Amino acid sequence: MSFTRGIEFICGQRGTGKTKYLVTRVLTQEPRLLVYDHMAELVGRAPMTVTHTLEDTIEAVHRSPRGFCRVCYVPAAGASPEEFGVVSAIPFSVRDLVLVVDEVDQLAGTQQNLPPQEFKRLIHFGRHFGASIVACARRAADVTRALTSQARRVVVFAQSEPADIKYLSSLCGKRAKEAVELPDLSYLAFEGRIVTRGKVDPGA
Amino acid sequence: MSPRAKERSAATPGGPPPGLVETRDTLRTRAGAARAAASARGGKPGAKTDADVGLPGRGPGRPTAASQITEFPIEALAEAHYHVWGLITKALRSRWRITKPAADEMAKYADLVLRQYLGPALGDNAPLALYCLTQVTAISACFALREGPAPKPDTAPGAAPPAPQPARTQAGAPAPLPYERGPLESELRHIPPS
Repeated sequence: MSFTRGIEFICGQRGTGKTKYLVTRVLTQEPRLLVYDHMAELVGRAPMTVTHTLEDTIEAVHRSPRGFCRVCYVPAAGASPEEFGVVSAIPFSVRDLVLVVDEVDQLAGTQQNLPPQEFKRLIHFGRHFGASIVACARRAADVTRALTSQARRVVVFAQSEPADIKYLSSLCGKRAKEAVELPDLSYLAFEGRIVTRGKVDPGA
Repeated sequence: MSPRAKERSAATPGGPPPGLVETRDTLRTRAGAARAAASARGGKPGAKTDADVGLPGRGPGRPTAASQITEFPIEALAEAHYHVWGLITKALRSRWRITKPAADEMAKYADLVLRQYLGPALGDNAPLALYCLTQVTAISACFALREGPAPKPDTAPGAAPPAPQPARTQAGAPAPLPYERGPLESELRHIPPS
Protein backbone atom coordinates (compact mmCIF):
# COMPACT_ATOMS: atom_id res chain seq x y z
CA MET A 1 0.00 0.00 0.00
CA SER A 2 1.78 3.13 -1.12
CA PHE A 3 0.90 6.66 -0.09
CA THR A 4 -2.79 5.94 0.06
CA ARG A 5 -3.04 6.71 3.75
CA GLY A 6 -0.92 9.86 3.73
CA ILE A 7 -0.83 11.42 7.16
CA GLU A 8 -3.56 10.44 9.58
CA PHE A 9 -3.92 12.07 12.96
CA ILE A 10 -6.05 10.62 15.75
CA CYS A 11 -6.93 12.51 18.91
CA GLY A 12 -9.26 12.10 21.84
CA GLN A 13 -9.42 11.90 25.59
CA ARG A 14 -7.98 8.86 27.29
CA GLY A 15 -10.15 5.78 27.19
CA THR A 16 -12.28 6.95 24.28
CA GLY A 17 -11.07 4.34 21.79
CA LYS A 18 -7.92 5.69 20.15
CA THR A 19 -5.89 2.55 20.69
CA LYS A 20 -8.75 0.31 19.59
CA TYR A 21 -9.06 2.39 16.42
CA LEU A 22 -5.33 2.07 15.87
CA VAL A 23 -5.49 -1.70 16.23
CA THR A 24 -8.60 -2.32 14.14
CA ARG A 25 -8.09 0.26 11.39
CA VAL A 26 -4.33 0.42 11.06
CA LEU A 27 -2.33 -2.35 12.72
CA THR A 28 -4.44 -5.17 11.35
CA GLN A 29 -4.94 -3.54 7.94
CA GLU A 30 -1.56 -2.27 6.79
CA PRO A 31 0.83 -4.88 5.38
CA ARG A 32 3.93 -2.70 5.85
CA LEU A 33 4.23 -0.80 9.08
CA LEU A 34 6.78 0.31 11.61
CA VAL A 35 5.39 1.09 15.05
CA TYR A 36 7.16 3.33 17.55
CA ASP A 37 5.53 2.14 20.76
CA HIS A 38 7.34 3.79 23.64
CA MET A 39 4.39 3.14 25.96
CA ALA A 40 4.39 -0.58 25.05
CA GLU A 41 0.62 -0.43 24.62
CA LEU A 42 0.39 -2.03 21.20
CA VAL A 43 2.57 -5.09 21.81
CA GLY A 44 0.55 -8.23 21.37
CA ARG A 45 -2.43 -6.44 19.80
CA ALA A 46 -1.46 -7.43 16.25
CA PRO A 47 1.09 -9.81 14.73
CA MET A 48 4.32 -7.82 14.73
CA THR A 49 8.00 -8.43 15.24
CA VAL A 50 8.89 -6.77 18.54
CA THR A 51 12.33 -5.19 18.84
CA HIS A 52 13.97 -3.31 21.68
CA THR A 53 17.04 -1.76 20.06
CA LEU A 54 17.42 0.50 17.05
CA GLU A 55 19.87 -1.84 15.36
CA ASP A 56 17.41 -4.71 15.61
CA THR A 57 14.65 -2.49 14.29
CA ILE A 58 16.68 -1.43 11.26
CA GLU A 59 17.62 -5.05 10.57
CA ALA A 60 14.06 -6.27 10.98
CA VAL A 61 12.73 -3.66 8.55
CA HIS A 62 15.42 -4.32 5.96
CA ARG A 63 15.10 -8.07 6.21
CA SER A 64 11.36 -8.04 5.75
CA PRO A 65 9.97 -9.21 2.43
CA ARG A 66 9.02 -6.54 -0.06
CA GLY A 67 5.31 -6.59 0.49
CA PHE A 68 5.22 -7.42 4.16
CA CYS A 69 6.88 -5.64 7.05
CA ARG A 70 5.48 -5.51 10.55
CA VAL A 71 7.91 -4.25 13.13
CA CYS A 72 7.11 -2.80 16.54
CA TYR A 73 9.94 -0.95 18.28
CA VAL A 74 9.55 -0.75 22.04
CA PRO A 75 12.51 1.30 23.30
CA ALA A 76 13.86 -0.35 26.43
CA ALA A 77 14.80 3.03 27.89
CA GLY A 78 11.51 4.75 27.08
CA ALA A 79 10.97 7.60 24.64
CA SER A 80 13.98 9.55 23.45
CA PRO A 81 14.00 12.24 20.76
CA GLU A 82 17.29 11.03 19.34
CA GLU A 83 16.01 7.50 18.86
CA PHE A 84 12.73 8.76 17.48
CA GLY A 85 14.75 10.74 14.96
CA VAL A 86 16.48 7.58 13.74
CA VAL A 87 13.17 5.71 13.58
CA SER A 88 11.74 8.57 11.52
CA ALA A 89 14.64 8.19 9.09
CA ILE A 90 14.00 4.48 8.49
CA PRO A 91 11.21 5.08 5.91
CA PHE A 92 13.82 6.96 3.83
CA SER A 93 15.80 3.74 3.48
CA VAL A 94 12.94 1.52 2.30
CA ARG A 95 9.84 2.22 0.30
CA ASP A 96 6.16 2.09 1.25
CA LEU A 97 6.20 2.07 5.01
CA VAL A 98 3.57 3.33 7.42
CA LEU A 99 5.07 4.83 10.58
CA VAL A 100 2.69 4.50 13.52
CA VAL A 101 3.37 6.65 16.58
CA ASP A 102 1.27 6.48 19.71
CA GLU A 103 1.28 9.46 22.11
CA VAL A 104 3.03 11.57 19.51
CA ASP A 105 2.77 14.70 21.66
CA GLN A 106 5.58 13.30 23.80
CA LEU A 107 7.86 13.14 20.78
CA ALA A 108 6.67 15.93 18.51
CA GLY A 109 5.12 18.56 20.73
CA THR A 110 4.66 22.29 20.45
CA GLN A 111 6.24 23.79 23.56
CA GLN A 112 8.26 20.88 24.91
CA ASN A 113 9.51 17.74 23.18
CA LEU A 114 9.93 19.49 19.85
CA PRO A 115 9.94 17.14 16.86
CA PRO A 116 13.30 15.91 15.61
CA GLN A 117 14.42 17.12 12.20
CA GLU A 118 13.99 13.67 10.66
CA PHE A 119 10.34 13.54 11.67
CA LYS A 120 9.74 16.92 10.02
CA ARG A 121 11.45 15.64 6.89
CA LEU A 122 9.23 12.59 6.95
CA ILE A 123 6.14 14.78 7.22
CA HIS A 124 7.16 16.96 4.30
CA PHE A 125 9.01 14.61 1.97
CA GLY A 126 7.90 11.14 3.06
CA ARG A 127 5.48 10.87 0.16
CA HIS A 128 8.40 10.61 -2.26
CA PHE A 129 9.24 7.35 -0.52
CA GLY A 130 5.68 6.11 -0.28
CA ALA A 131 5.78 6.72 3.48
CA SER A 132 2.68 7.38 5.51
CA ILE A 133 2.29 8.47 9.12
CA VAL A 134 -0.41 7.53 11.59
CA ALA A 135 -0.10 9.44 14.85
CA CYS A 136 -2.13 9.44 18.03
CA ALA A 137 -2.39 11.99 20.84
CA ARG A 138 -4.83 13.02 23.53
CA ARG A 139 -4.86 16.73 22.67
CA ALA A 140 -4.39 18.01 19.15
CA ALA A 141 -3.07 21.32 20.46
CA ASP A 142 -0.11 19.58 22.06
CA VAL A 143 1.10 18.16 18.74
CA THR A 144 3.36 20.04 16.37
CA ARG A 145 1.39 21.96 13.78
CA ALA A 146 3.74 20.61 11.11
CA LEU A 147 1.99 17.25 11.55
CA THR A 148 -1.61 18.33 12.09
CA SER A 149 -1.55 20.83 9.22
CA GLN A 150 -0.44 18.13 6.76
CA ALA A 151 -2.86 15.46 7.98
CA ARG A 152 -5.04 14.23 5.16
CA ARG A 153 -7.39 12.59 7.63
CA VAL A 154 -8.10 13.70 11.20
CA VAL A 155 -10.01 11.34 13.47
CA VAL A 156 -11.50 12.95 16.56
CA PHE A 157 -12.77 10.98 19.53
CA ALA A 158 -14.58 12.55 22.47
CA GLN A 159 -13.19 15.86 23.71
CA SER A 160 -14.54 18.10 26.45
CA GLU A 161 -12.00 20.88 26.98
CA PRO A 162 -13.32 24.06 25.29
CA ALA A 163 -9.82 25.08 24.25
CA ASP A 164 -9.34 21.73 22.52
CA ILE A 165 -12.66 22.05 20.71
CA LYS A 166 -11.71 25.54 19.59
CA TYR A 167 -8.38 24.33 18.33
CA LEU A 168 -9.98 21.43 16.49
CA SER A 169 -12.52 23.82 14.94
CA SER A 170 -9.64 25.87 13.58
CA LEU A 171 -8.10 22.68 12.21
CA CYS A 172 -11.11 20.78 10.89
CA GLY A 173 -14.04 23.17 10.76
CA LYS A 174 -17.17 23.88 12.74
CA ARG A 175 -18.34 20.30 12.95
CA ALA A 176 -15.48 19.61 15.36
CA LYS A 177 -17.82 20.98 18.04
CA GLU A 178 -19.78 17.74 17.78
CA ALA A 179 -16.86 16.00 19.48
CA VAL A 180 -18.28 17.10 22.84
CA GLU A 181 -21.28 14.83 22.38
CA LEU A 182 -19.44 11.79 21.12
CA PRO A 183 -19.89 8.65 23.23
CA ASP A 184 -16.93 6.40 23.89
CA LEU A 185 -15.62 4.48 20.87
CA SER A 186 -17.38 6.86 18.46
CA TYR A 187 -15.43 9.26 16.32
CA LEU A 188 -15.65 11.95 13.71
CA ALA A 189 -13.39 11.56 10.68
CA PHE A 190 -12.47 14.70 8.75
CA GLU A 191 -11.11 14.29 5.22
CA GLY A 192 -11.10 17.66 3.57
CA ARG A 193 -14.69 18.79 3.53
CA ILE A 194 -16.08 15.33 4.06
CA VAL A 195 -17.00 14.51 7.63
CA THR A 196 -18.09 11.02 8.61
CA ARG A 197 -19.11 9.47 11.88
CA GLY A 198 -17.85 6.07 12.86
CA LYS A 199 -17.67 3.62 15.71
CA VAL A 200 -14.90 1.30 16.75
CA ASP A 201 -15.74 -2.31 17.41
CA PRO A 202 -15.72 -2.64 21.22
CA GLY A 203 -14.69 -6.27 20.98
CA ALA A 204 -11.38 -5.44 19.31
CA MET B 1 31.20 14.92 -12.65
CA SER B 2 30.83 16.13 -9.09
CA PRO B 3 29.41 13.81 -6.45
CA ARG B 4 26.34 16.01 -6.19
CA ALA B 5 25.80 15.88 -9.95
CA LYS B 6 26.26 12.10 -9.92
CA GLU B 7 23.67 11.82 -7.20
CA ARG B 8 21.29 14.03 -9.15
CA SER B 9 21.75 12.07 -12.35
CA ALA B 10 21.23 8.79 -10.54
CA ALA B 11 17.87 9.92 -9.24
CA THR B 12 15.03 8.66 -11.37
CA PRO B 13 12.56 11.20 -12.72
CA GLY B 14 9.74 11.54 -10.26
CA GLY B 15 11.63 9.46 -7.71
CA PRO B 16 12.76 10.47 -4.26
CA PRO B 17 14.71 13.70 -4.05
CA PRO B 18 18.48 13.25 -3.77
CA GLY B 19 20.00 13.77 -0.36
CA LEU B 20 17.11 12.24 1.53
CA VAL B 21 17.84 8.59 0.90
CA GLU B 22 19.12 6.66 3.91
CA THR B 23 20.95 3.35 3.82
CA ARG B 24 21.12 0.60 6.37
CA ASP B 25 24.69 1.58 7.24
CA THR B 26 23.97 5.26 7.77
CA LEU B 27 20.99 4.34 9.90
CA ARG B 28 23.08 2.02 12.05
CA THR B 29 25.68 4.74 12.53
CA ARG B 30 23.00 7.17 13.56
CA ALA B 31 21.50 4.59 15.89
CA GLY B 32 24.78 4.37 17.79
CA ALA B 33 24.99 8.15 18.01
CA ALA B 34 21.38 8.39 19.17
CA ARG B 35 21.97 5.85 21.91
CA ALA B 36 25.05 7.75 23.07
CA ALA B 37 23.10 11.00 23.13
CA ALA B 38 20.21 9.42 25.01
CA SER B 39 22.49 7.89 27.63
CA ALA B 40 24.35 11.21 27.98
CA ARG B 41 21.02 12.80 28.85
CA GLY B 42 20.57 10.25 31.63
CA GLY B 43 18.54 7.57 29.92
CA LYS B 44 18.24 4.20 31.56
CA PRO B 45 18.93 1.61 28.86
CA GLY B 46 17.68 -1.83 29.68
CA ALA B 47 15.76 -0.69 32.74
CA LYS B 48 12.52 -2.29 31.63
CA THR B 49 11.61 -5.92 31.95
CA ASP B 50 9.51 -7.95 29.58
CA ALA B 51 6.66 -7.71 32.04
CA ASP B 52 7.00 -3.92 31.94
CA VAL B 53 6.67 -3.82 28.21
CA GLY B 54 3.80 -6.25 28.18
CA LEU B 55 5.56 -9.28 26.79
CA PRO B 56 4.33 -12.65 27.94
CA GLY B 57 6.42 -15.56 29.07
CA ARG B 58 8.98 -13.96 31.32
CA GLY B 59 8.58 -13.14 34.93
CA PRO B 60 8.95 -9.71 36.48
CA GLY B 61 12.42 -8.57 37.37
CA ARG B 62 14.08 -10.38 34.52
CA PRO B 63 15.73 -8.02 32.04
CA THR B 64 14.13 -7.90 28.67
CA ALA B 65 15.77 -9.71 25.79
CA ALA B 66 16.68 -6.44 24.20
CA SER B 67 19.15 -7.75 21.67
CA GLN B 68 17.00 -10.53 20.32
CA ILE B 69 14.99 -10.11 17.19
CA THR B 70 11.90 -12.19 17.18
CA GLU B 71 11.62 -12.91 13.50
CA PHE B 72 8.15 -12.96 12.12
CA PRO B 73 8.33 -16.50 10.79
CA ILE B 74 6.47 -16.03 7.55
CA GLU B 75 7.97 -19.02 5.80
CA ALA B 76 7.68 -21.16 8.90
CA LEU B 77 4.11 -20.08 9.33
CA ALA B 78 3.31 -21.00 5.77
CA GLU B 79 5.03 -24.35 6.17
CA ALA B 80 3.32 -25.14 9.47
CA HIS B 81 0.04 -24.07 7.99
CA TYR B 82 0.65 -26.46 5.13
CA HIS B 83 1.46 -29.33 7.49
CA VAL B 84 -1.43 -28.67 9.82
CA TRP B 85 -3.95 -28.38 7.04
CA GLY B 86 -2.40 -31.46 5.47
CA LEU B 87 -3.33 -33.32 8.60
CA ILE B 88 -6.86 -32.02 8.56
CA THR B 89 -7.22 -32.90 4.92
CA LYS B 90 -5.95 -36.36 5.70
CA ALA B 91 -8.53 -36.71 8.42
CA LEU B 92 -11.24 -35.50 6.09
CA ARG B 93 -10.19 -37.92 3.37
CA SER B 94 -10.43 -40.81 5.72
CA ARG B 95 -13.90 -39.58 6.72
CA TRP B 96 -12.99 -39.67 10.39
CA ARG B 97 -12.23 -43.34 10.20
CA ILE B 98 -8.94 -42.94 12.00
CA THR B 99 -7.99 -45.04 14.94
CA LYS B 100 -7.22 -43.58 18.33
CA PRO B 101 -3.51 -44.50 18.21
CA ALA B 102 -3.28 -42.93 14.77
CA ALA B 103 -5.02 -39.83 16.07
CA ASP B 104 -2.57 -39.63 18.94
CA GLU B 105 0.29 -40.05 16.51
CA MET B 106 -1.01 -37.24 14.34
CA ALA B 107 -1.50 -35.04 17.37
CA LYS B 108 2.09 -35.67 18.39
CA TYR B 109 3.22 -34.82 14.90
CA ALA B 110 1.19 -31.64 14.87
CA ASP B 111 2.68 -30.72 18.23
CA LEU B 112 6.16 -31.37 16.86
CA VAL B 113 5.50 -29.21 13.82
CA LEU B 114 4.21 -26.39 15.93
CA ARG B 115 7.08 -26.58 18.40
CA GLN B 116 9.68 -26.79 15.67
CA TYR B 117 8.38 -24.10 13.37
CA LEU B 118 6.43 -21.78 15.57
CA GLY B 119 8.04 -22.36 18.94
CA PRO B 120 10.19 -19.22 18.68
CA ALA B 121 7.08 -17.19 18.05
CA LEU B 122 5.37 -18.25 21.24
CA GLY B 123 7.60 -16.03 23.30
CA ASP B 124 7.09 -12.58 21.96
CA ASN B 125 4.44 -12.92 19.33
CA ALA B 126 1.39 -13.89 21.28
CA PRO B 127 -1.00 -13.44 18.33
CA LEU B 128 0.95 -16.00 16.38
CA ALA B 129 0.78 -18.36 19.31
CA LEU B 130 -2.96 -17.89 19.37
CA TYR B 131 -3.04 -18.61 15.67
CA CYS B 132 -1.21 -21.85 16.37
CA LEU B 133 -3.66 -22.71 19.06
CA THR B 134 -6.60 -22.25 16.75
CA GLN B 135 -4.97 -24.61 14.30
CA VAL B 136 -4.31 -27.16 17.00
CA THR B 137 -7.82 -26.75 18.30
CA ALA B 138 -9.17 -27.42 14.85
CA ILE B 139 -7.21 -30.64 14.69
CA SER B 140 -8.23 -31.58 18.18
CA ALA B 141 -11.82 -31.08 17.20
CA CYS B 142 -11.25 -33.48 14.32
CA PHE B 143 -9.80 -36.03 16.71
CA ALA B 144 -12.54 -35.49 19.23
CA LEU B 145 -15.11 -36.48 16.64
CA ARG B 146 -13.65 -39.89 16.33
CA GLU B 147 -12.63 -41.70 19.47
CA GLY B 148 -11.89 -45.07 18.04
CA PRO B 149 -11.89 -47.21 14.91
CA ALA B 150 -15.13 -47.82 13.19
CA PRO B 151 -16.06 -51.33 14.35
CA LYS B 152 -17.03 -53.88 11.80
CA PRO B 153 -20.56 -55.22 12.11
CA ASP B 154 -20.38 -58.11 14.46
CA THR B 155 -23.10 -60.65 14.28
CA ALA B 156 -21.78 -62.73 17.14
CA PRO B 157 -24.23 -63.11 20.00
CA GLY B 158 -23.62 -60.74 22.88
CA ALA B 159 -21.48 -58.42 20.80
CA ALA B 160 -21.49 -54.72 21.64
CA PRO B 161 -23.61 -52.53 19.38
CA PRO B 162 -21.67 -50.59 16.76
CA ALA B 163 -20.33 -47.23 17.84
CA PRO B 164 -22.43 -44.26 16.68
CA GLN B 165 -21.15 -42.57 13.57
CA PRO B 166 -20.66 -38.80 13.37
CA ALA B 167 -23.60 -36.87 12.03
CA ARG B 168 -23.55 -36.38 8.29
CA THR B 169 -25.25 -34.01 5.97
CA GLN B 170 -27.53 -35.17 3.23
CA ALA B 171 -24.72 -35.03 0.73
CA GLY B 172 -22.75 -37.46 2.82
CA ALA B 173 -20.19 -34.96 4.01
CA PRO B 174 -19.36 -34.77 7.70
CA ALA B 175 -21.32 -32.29 9.75
CA PRO B 176 -19.62 -29.01 10.76
CA LEU B 177 -17.03 -29.39 13.45
CA PRO B 178 -18.01 -28.54 16.97
CA TYR B 179 -15.52 -26.24 18.72
CA GLU B 180 -13.84 -28.15 21.48
CA ARG B 181 -10.77 -27.53 23.51
CA GLY B 182 -8.24 -30.08 22.45
CA PRO B 183 -5.76 -31.70 24.77
CA LEU B 184 -2.88 -29.95 23.04
CA GLU B 185 -4.11 -26.48 23.76
CA SER B 186 -3.50 -26.63 27.49
CA GLU B 187 -0.18 -28.29 26.84
CA LEU B 188 0.94 -25.63 24.42
CA ARG B 189 0.26 -22.88 26.89
CA HIS B 190 3.18 -24.12 28.94
CA ILE B 191 5.76 -24.22 26.20
CA PRO B 192 8.57 -21.97 27.38
CA PRO B 193 9.82 -19.36 24.93
CA SER B 194 12.93 -20.58 23.20
